Amino acid sequence: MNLLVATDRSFDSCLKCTACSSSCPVAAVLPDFPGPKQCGPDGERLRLKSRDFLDVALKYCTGCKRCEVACPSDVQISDIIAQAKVKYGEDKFRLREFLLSHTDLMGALTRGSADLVNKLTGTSVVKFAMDKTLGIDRRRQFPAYARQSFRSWYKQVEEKQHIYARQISYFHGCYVNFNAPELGQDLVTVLNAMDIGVKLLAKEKCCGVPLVANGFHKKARSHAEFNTRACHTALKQGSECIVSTSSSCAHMLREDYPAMLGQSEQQVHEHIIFITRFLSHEFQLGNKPEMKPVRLKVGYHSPCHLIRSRGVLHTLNILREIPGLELHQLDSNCCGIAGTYGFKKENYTTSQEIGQPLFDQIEAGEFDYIVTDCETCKMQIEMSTSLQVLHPVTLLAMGMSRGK
Amino acid sequence: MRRMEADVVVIGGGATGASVFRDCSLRGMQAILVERGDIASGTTGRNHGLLHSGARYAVTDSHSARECISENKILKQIAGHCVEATDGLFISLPEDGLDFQQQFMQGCADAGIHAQELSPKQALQLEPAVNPALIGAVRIPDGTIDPFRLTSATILDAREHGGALLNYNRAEGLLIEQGRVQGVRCRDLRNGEQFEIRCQAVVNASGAWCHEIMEYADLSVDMYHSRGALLIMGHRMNGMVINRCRKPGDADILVPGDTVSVIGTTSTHVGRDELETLEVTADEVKTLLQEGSKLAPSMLDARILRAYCGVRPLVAESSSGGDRSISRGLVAIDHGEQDGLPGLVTITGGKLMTCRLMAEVATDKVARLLNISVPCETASRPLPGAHLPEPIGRKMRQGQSRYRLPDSSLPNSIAGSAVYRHGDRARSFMQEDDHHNNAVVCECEVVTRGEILYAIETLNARSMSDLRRRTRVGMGPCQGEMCACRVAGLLASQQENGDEVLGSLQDFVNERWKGIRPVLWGDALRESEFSYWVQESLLGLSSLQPEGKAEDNRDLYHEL
Amino acid sequence: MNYDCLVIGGGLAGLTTGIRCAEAGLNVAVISSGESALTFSSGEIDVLGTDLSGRAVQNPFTALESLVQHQPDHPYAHVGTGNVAKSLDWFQREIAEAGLPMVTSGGLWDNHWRLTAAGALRPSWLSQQSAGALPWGLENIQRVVFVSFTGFLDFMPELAAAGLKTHPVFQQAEVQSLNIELPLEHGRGATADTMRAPQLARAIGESDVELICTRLLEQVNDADLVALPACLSAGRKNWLTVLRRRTGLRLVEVATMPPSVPGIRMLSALKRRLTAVGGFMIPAMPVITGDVSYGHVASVQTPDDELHAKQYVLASGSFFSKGLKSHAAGEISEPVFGLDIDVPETLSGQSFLVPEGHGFNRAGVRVNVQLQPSLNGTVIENLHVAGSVLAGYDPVIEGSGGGVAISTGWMAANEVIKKVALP
Repeated sequence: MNLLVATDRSFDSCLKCTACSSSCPVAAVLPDFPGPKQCGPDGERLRLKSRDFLDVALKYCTGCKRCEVACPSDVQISDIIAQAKVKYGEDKFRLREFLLSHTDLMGALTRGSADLVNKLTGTSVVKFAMDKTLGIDRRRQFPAYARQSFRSWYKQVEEKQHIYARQISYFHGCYVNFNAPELGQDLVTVLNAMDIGVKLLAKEKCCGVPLVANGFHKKARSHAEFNTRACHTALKQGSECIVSTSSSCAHMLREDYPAMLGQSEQQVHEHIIFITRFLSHEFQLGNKPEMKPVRLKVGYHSPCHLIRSRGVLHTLNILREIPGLELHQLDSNCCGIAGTYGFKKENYTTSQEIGQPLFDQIEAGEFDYIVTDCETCKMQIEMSTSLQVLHPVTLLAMGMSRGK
Repeated sequence: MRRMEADVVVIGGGATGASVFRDCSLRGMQAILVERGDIASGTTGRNHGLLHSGARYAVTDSHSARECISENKILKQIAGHCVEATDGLFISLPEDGLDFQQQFMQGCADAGIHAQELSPKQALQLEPAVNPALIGAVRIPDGTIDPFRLTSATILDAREHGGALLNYNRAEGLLIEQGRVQGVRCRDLRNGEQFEIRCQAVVNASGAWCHEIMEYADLSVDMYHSRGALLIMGHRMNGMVINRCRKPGDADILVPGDTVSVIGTTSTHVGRDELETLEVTADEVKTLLQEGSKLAPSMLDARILRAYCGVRPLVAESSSGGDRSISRGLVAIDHGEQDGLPGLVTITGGKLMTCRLMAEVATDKVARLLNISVPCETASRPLPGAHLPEPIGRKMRQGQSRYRLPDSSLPNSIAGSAVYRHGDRARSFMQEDDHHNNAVVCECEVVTRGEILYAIETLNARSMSDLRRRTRVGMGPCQGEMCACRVAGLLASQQENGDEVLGSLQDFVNERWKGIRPVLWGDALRESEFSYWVQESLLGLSSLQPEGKAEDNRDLYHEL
Repeated sequence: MNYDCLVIGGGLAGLTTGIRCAEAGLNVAVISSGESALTFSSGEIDVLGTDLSGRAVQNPFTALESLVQHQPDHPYAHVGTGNVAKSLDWFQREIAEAGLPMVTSGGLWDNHWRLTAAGALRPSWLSQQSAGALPWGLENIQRVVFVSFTGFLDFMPELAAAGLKTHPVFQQAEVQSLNIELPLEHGRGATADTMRAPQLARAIGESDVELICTRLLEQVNDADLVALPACLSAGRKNWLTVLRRRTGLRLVEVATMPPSVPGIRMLSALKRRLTAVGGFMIPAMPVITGDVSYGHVASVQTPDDELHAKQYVLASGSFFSKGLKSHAAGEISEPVFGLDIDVPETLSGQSFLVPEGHGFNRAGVRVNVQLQPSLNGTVIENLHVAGSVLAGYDPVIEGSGGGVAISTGWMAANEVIKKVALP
């Protein structure tokens, strides 16, 4: 995502075929949104004439990148729209965007008061207040904060990691650290079972996905620099690579950082890998942990950004290796949350309408669980359906007798 | 036979004819314009779209240079919505050296053209698309001009002052009685009907075809037809005009125009029998790309939309030296004075830039014939739509915008495109809550239903290609693959004759193809394959057989 | 992860191969890059629309016999006419299993007419029920009305009416157009003016259907045929069925300008069928190059990974989908493997709408009768080629795009299944 450097010229290849527009989840439910073709490549040609041609409707784009997946001409449609917002748009500070996007800050602030915060954000009074004053939709469920952060739990197992000959570093991200430390724990279980030790980065900052989505580009860039340095150090200290269990964080670190920071740190960014790709390669090389049958029927939902970063095949590959698992690939549909997009009051209806076909398929499928790689997809599906959502790594861990 | 009356008949609906039409009308004459095709469908619509500063002629033709800079200033004042004052650069590359630049600066100074010498770094900062290998640059007040829009607005003004436009009507003969020209014999090409227009003066403004009109009176002129090929790039690659600072040669100018950039041109002589069948050759495309990429290297991997060529109607003054040494100056002939045949004035030579001036000279001659003493007002009176907040292109103060409808909350792309093309006349077809008419028909160029209907009702557009010239519909990257049928549908809803609409749709599609064929590779081929699927496989356009599709109504040429 | 078969390309041909392989119990993944051309198609399957002299054919399977005799390098000649029929029969069952029953009109092996949004009639073989194929003999249709919804730009009834009037059979017929202004119950305040067909389909609700019904009964009650834009049968309910029942009129849906609802519906049905029978669908996975040595594909490379399979099927499409690439110097190539190709001498005709079509449509990969390509003359034994990347046919002019995609995809799968089954 060429956010801060030279203009992307891929729009020149657009054939006006409308494949992007017909796969845009927002255009499908929000007829006033002109769609990715008009906002992206069409709009860019006009904006080259004058910035006066920038449309406010660009704000409805969720950045899900399904347009780029659909495009037969490799036009970086979603990036063009994101760039246009920055290049031609005006920067305005808004409290809601600040709160929603500073996930690491919010996580740190709630430390030690998780129960209280969870209760508060669950109460109707607070939801009403957030709705009215901040424009965060009251119908939205907030992810619960964990009592103990992942980093603090990790201290208990840190010592034990040194016994493994192979070492990799884990970029846990805000979600695992503050909301879902158990996923991080599952990862340690799985990798340890494969004779690989897990290290953490000395310190990490939010990858920057929510910052970019909410217009805090300078901040995102400084996070990118910080995290790149931390990854660099980890590699120097003997980690084979850096893995992430979040498809969004991994996409940001691997695909978007090089565009933001230039190619000089290419070698660092190349070593940042989404976990299922790492595991899929290990499995193929024969390093496969022993697993007992997991007799479950699961539906796999492929997150938009994982599709875009070519990761779906790897997740399916490792899920296929779990004995006893009845695996169904769900139709490729966006869940509608799109990170922080769905939290905003003006987007709530759109967000839920986008997700409806997915929710319907999930409810009709008689699944035991839904599996997906992305934390915000998980939030959205759990809020909007009756099913619980597992991460692929958690399923693997379930197969390793740790059980749930 | 039907008979009409007028003070003046103007033959030829290019920029020059349109300007004569306007000038006559503004001076109170009852004028009729006769054009065998559509307005601006000849040479006018097939050039760079360069708003010359005159710098191009500063060294070789000081007279033309002075004409240009004077008309340049006038057009910026009277045709704000047809021009963009982008400014231009004359760059010197290592192979050119800097000697010519010195002559060039002197030439500009002599002609009164403001020229500012820039360092290569300054030039690159102003225009990032420019070849970074440049060794010097001069900034001059070049700009861009849309010839279709200029012609259309000029004609609209004439019509609003009592003139009548007869497009798709051919002048087939001059009525010569008692030793003077007394009218024109015409044919309506839609229905074949012949008719006469009686008048006191005829102005032959048929440009590259002016010898044909003169032949009706057994007169002749030594025309030199110089053909130039150009390429249209898929997007606006450069913000400023980029010229080579050297003696005029092939592909030495890249002009940003609206949403595209145009590279041109070549120059070869063509015989008068070849005027109707012009095609761009593979060699011309190659030359244009090779030389053009020296101006802006990014051209090599940019998409080319189409190729086209036009014919400059030059009047030969000497037989030596090739066409670039022939003056671009205008030629105005009162055949009463020159050939003893009063009532006929021929205006030719010249260039798009000087169309208004040419018209002034010609109309002065007509006014003398008619004993009219009203002075020419065309240099000071703005064209319809030209009232914009400030001249287009100048840097706006922050928060201000040129291309917006006042007090409108319509999307900027929609309102802005309408204002960009029609200036303050955009209000004629764009109202705040009119969802129906504000719907976008052509997505590449953001043309709305309202704009199409306005062009049909107010701007005399009758065919699909007319609509393209009035609105840019079908001129974007998809070349009408999506919008062609939508526009045809709108035409069909406005016209009784469905066959005529279908014929015009087929012509439109075939005309677009002519320009694409010379550059049929890469994305252009992919686009064509897709268009073919849509128009032939999905819609079956070739199997439609509209009746009465007269061959000579077809668009003969491919254009911008 | 080793696959039995990797299919490169997720269009009609690739999905056909994927479904057939998965059904046979193979581990198969269909990897694609960019949406396939089905998204803009009519959603019908044509087999052969015109014969060698350009005349419309009523029985495509009979006409096939003569076609393959005259054009031994035609993909249909490789597949064999018997197999073409078998594959299409198989496809009809599969697509019905996927929840999208498709029908022939008149005789089982006869073509019907597909009405287009420009009012043209194109021969086709298999159509979705909503399209209501027009039988070969058109004589009983004397009053036709094209109906659209006010503001909708992608199906203009006036144009369609003018188009149909030029057809010899309909010159004396009464052909009319009608626009109905809809409130659009689920349109969230937007009008049809800014909607494309899929959005319109979503926006239509019960009250709109009520209104359409009333207007049809009032104004076109005596029509023999009423043609509507294809956006009624894919809404919240199948409104077309409701309307057919309530009005008793012969209502047909016509594919609109892209994006086309019936095309998208067919694509989704096929993808769903693939995953239902155990295949995997992997979008956004471009294949950059393939590693071929001694007539054998060892692996293919994506931007980040090397993928391995026993068998590979190339169904990467033509120029549009980048299965073929054309260069400025006039050369054409197959970009993944650099396979041997056939290119006609002349790539394009003088006019766009020419009866003989354009040479670029016939360019593509040369194959043997097992649909195996060659690289510098050496046959590649574990690679088969299907669909529009193939040389030797013109899908548009012949009206054979769907049939060739399905039959070659089916046959490529059969070859793969045979080989994987071997020890």
